[in-house]
Order: sequence, then C-alpha cells, then structure tokens
Amino acid sequence: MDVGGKANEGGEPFVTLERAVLVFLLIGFVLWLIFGVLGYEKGHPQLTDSWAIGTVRLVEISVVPEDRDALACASDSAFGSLRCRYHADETTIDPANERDVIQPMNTVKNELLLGAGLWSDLESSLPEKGHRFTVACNFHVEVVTRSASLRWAPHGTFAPLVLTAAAGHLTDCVIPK
Amino acid sequence: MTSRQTTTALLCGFVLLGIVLRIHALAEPYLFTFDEELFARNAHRYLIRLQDLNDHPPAGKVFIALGLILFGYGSLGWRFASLWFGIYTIAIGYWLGSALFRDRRAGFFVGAFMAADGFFIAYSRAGLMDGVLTCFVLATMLAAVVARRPRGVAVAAVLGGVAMSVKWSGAFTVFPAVAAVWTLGRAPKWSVLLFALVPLVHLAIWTAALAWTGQPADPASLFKVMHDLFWHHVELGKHHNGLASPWYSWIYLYHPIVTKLSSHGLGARYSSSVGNLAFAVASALLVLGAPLAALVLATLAWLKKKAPNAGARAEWKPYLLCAFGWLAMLSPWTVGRGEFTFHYHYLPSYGFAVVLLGGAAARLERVRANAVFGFVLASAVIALYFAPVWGEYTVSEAAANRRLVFKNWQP
Repeated sequence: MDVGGKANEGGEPFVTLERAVLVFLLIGFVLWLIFGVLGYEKGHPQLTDSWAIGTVRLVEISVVPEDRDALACASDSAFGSLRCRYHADETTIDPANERDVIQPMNTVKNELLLGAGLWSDLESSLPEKGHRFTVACNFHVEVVTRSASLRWAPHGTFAPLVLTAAAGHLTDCVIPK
Repeated sequence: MTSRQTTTALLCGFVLLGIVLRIHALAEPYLFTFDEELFARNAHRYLIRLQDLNDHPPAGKVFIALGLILFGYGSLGWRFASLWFGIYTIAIGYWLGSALFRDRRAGFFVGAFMAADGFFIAYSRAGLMDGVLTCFVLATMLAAVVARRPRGVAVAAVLGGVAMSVKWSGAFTVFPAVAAVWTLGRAPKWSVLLFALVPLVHLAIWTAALAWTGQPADPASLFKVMHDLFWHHVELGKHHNGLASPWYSWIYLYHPIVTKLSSHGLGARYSSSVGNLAFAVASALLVLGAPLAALVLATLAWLKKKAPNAGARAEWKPYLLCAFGWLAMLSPWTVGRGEFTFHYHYLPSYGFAVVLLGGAAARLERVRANAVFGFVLASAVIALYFAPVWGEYTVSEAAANRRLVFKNWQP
C-alpha cells in the first residue's frame, strides 16, 4: 500500500497497493472457480448436500405397506426415466413401470429423498398391512430437483419442495432380520 | 526438527485449516440464518435499484451484491463476499503484522492466528457485514503503517471511508491509523490531515448509493437519512435482545453467538463465533497488560530521572498501537448503545488484539522458542477440537455441547 513508490525511506514496506489489490482479486477468482466452475450447488441436493449425483448411498427407510399409495409427488417434469405419479395439476399419470415412479421418503436419519423402485423390489416380502417395518436399500443419486410437490397421506395436500432434494432408484432392498 | 520449524509447520496447518473451515459447506443452510435476511434482501434491492431499507450505510450490502451477481440470489451468493473478505483478512493480518513489527515472522503468526480462530471463521461463513468491516478496519491500519508519502496516507483515508460506509463504527479505525502515521514517522506528520477524507469518502459512497436507487441524493436529503439513522441507533439502545451482551463481557467470551445452525439428519451443523480460547485469553492479557507494562517501565525510568532509550521506545510502539486500536474499536460500544450490544461488535477490536498477540509471539520466540511452540501446539489442539462447531460439520447435540460448554455459548 506504499503508493509512494520508493520503499525504503523508513525501511521495507512489506506490501504495495498493487500487490494487495492483486492478492484480493486472486482470492476472489480462485473462490469463484471453486464454487462456480465446479458447480458445487448443481451437483448436490440442498437437503442432503453430501449426496453427490452419481453416488450410491446405503439408506434405511421406515415405512408401512400403505405408504405405497399414500406417499406421492406431483410434477410435470421428467427426470430421466423417473416420474412422479401425478402431474402438477394433480391428475394421475399412468406410469409404464412402477419401478420408475418416485415417492418422497424419509430415512431413519430424517433425510428426505425421492426414491423409486422400493415396492417392486420388496414385492414378495412385503409385511402385512398396518405393520411398520424398516428397509435398507442402495439409493442411486441420479437427479437433484426442486420441481415437485409432495404428499405424505392418501388424500393429503401436495406441498411444494422448498429446497432441492435427491431423486433416484432404490435397489437391492432388504428388510433386516 | 527444531521447535521453531515445528511451530512453522503448525502455523502452515493453521492457514490450511482456516481456509478449509471457511469454505466447507458454506452454502448450508440454504435459507437465511441470523441477520442475513436484513443484508441479503437489501443487497438484492441495490441490484434492482430499489431503496435500501436496512439501518446501516450502503457499502457492506454493495459487497454482498457482488456475490449475488456471481452466484444468484441464494445462500452462496449472499455469503460469498464474507468468505472473500474473510480469507483476504488473513493476508491483511500477515502484512500488518510484518509491517508493524518489521518482522515477517510476526506477520506469519498474525495471519495464522486469524486463520485458526472461530470468531473470524464464523463471520467468513455468514452473509453478515462484520467480517467485511474488520477487513477494511485492518486494511486502513495497514495502509497507515506502510505509508511513506501523503499519497499512502490518502489510501488509508479512503479505506477508512469505506470501513465507515460498511458500518459507522468503522470510522473509529481513524484513531489508530492517525496514531500510526504520527508516531511511526514514516510519512510526513502533516499528512494526518488527509484523514479528513474519511467522512468525504463516506458521504460520496452514500450519495452515490442514494442516486443509484432513485432516492433524493442532495446533501439535505442525505443529512436527513443519516440523522434518522443515527437516532434509530440511539433508540435501539433501549431495546432488549436475548443475544445481547455488554462490551466488557466480550473480552472473556461471555456470550459468543452461533451465527448458523441447521439440522442435518439426526445431527446439526453449527457455526459458532466462539474464538480460539488460547488466542482469546492470551490476546486479552496482552492487550490489557502491554499498556500497563509500558506505563510501569516509563514511570521507573522517570523515577530514575533517565529517559527511556530510543530503541526501547521504538520496540514498544507497535504493541501500544495495537492496544490503542483495540481500545478505539471497542469505544463506540462503551457508551450510547445501552444494552443493545453484541459479541460480534468486538470483531474489529479483536483483530487488533490478535495482531498484538502475533507480534508478541514472534518476539518471544527469539528467546523462548519452546514456550511459543507449546502455546501454538495448545492452540492447534483447541482449533481441531472446535473445528466441527466452527466449520459446520455434522455433529450430535451432545458433541456440540461438549464444545459449547456454557449455556450462553449454545444456540
């Protein structure tokens, strides 16, 4: 910051204005690169930001068989092969394959995800109605979205997602003995 | 490996750790936390040229608006300026310590201590203005210390004007800056008159901000805005707030604030502004003790009818300047704000205390390298222990409370 030029009338100035400004801009640029170019926000859901797209997480979910129809999302967006059961206007979509229908679920750690394929995977081993059970699955983080509304009860109202959530297929589901 | 080399390695670790803790999960939580909404919304209003409704001068929000331009109106956008200035403060600390104590080792201590202190970290991670303010306060002092010519002093004055335009309390940085120019004698003494530029820069920034947002920007209108704001702040002193704490309690970390808190599965993420306990205690003792020690030594010399030699006086000057800076930045909160004062008001003041600590550590290391190594090692252990609640790593409430041990430290 020694804008006077000559440094050493009173000893070494240790920093010049030019260098100080340069370092300031350099720090800003590097941070912009880290956050901007790497696209941190686009690849990480806000609700579970350590779940990056392309990763597989072992999740544990607690449900009852009735949740197959109760839990639902509504959206006009398609996420690859994944679809909600309802359009944004809450009219039903006829899915070609239930394995691709995403539903909102909370893990036992209270993490929200939009998972598809849980019921298809458990078809032969579903407990009786009314019995709550815990199931462990591999969750493939495929998409990050906020373009959906969620319903948690059969005739409940759909509430829009406020933060982005991870969506993907649930595979290899087992009910721990 | 000598203890000095090991200390160097630890200090490098401090800088690295400090940068990681500032960047980690910065955008989390994705909603407003603490006072962020007040500043982010008004930063956004600058971008769409609407009136600023916040009760602080414009500059801090204009800097926040830069982040919004780069990353959009989201949590990363409104926290980016704090991160940028927060990391830059480490560099400012390095240069200030080096220049003031004429010793790069002192600068290294100062920068590393600032990097590994939760108080600085917390305000680098939130869309608040105190980290930006502290950066400009210390930059003003740096410019004053290194100035060799009037033009250098003018740069210090401009930076002081920007500090004042972030928060009015920034104006108090003029006192240590004037003292630095006057006592260090590196620039002509008359150049302290250039600090008259500080209010002019402030008025220019505010006038430009009013004009930009379509408000009346003539001197009378500006005076009215400032007059109303001044009395608004005086009125605030009559309010009660559960997070408030008196100025003298900041020195002993009575009520540091958890500036960010979010639930994450079964755990939670904390960003607490509790400082590194080793730095907080040592810097408080030094900042209070240095002037006392200087006074005692001067009195003894006077009793012996012997003037302190020039070398001793020169060696004491940087310490006294830091202590004066600490006091100057603390002074606005000792009067006129009633009970409405908060721990974060201490950050610029604490900046001066850490500069003093860094200088003292470098000086002591020349004769007691092992003692300084022990202190730095203890600080490293504390930093690692507190890192999860400074840098928002997911921890259980019990784990957080083992660190935030006092009720007033908890959210």
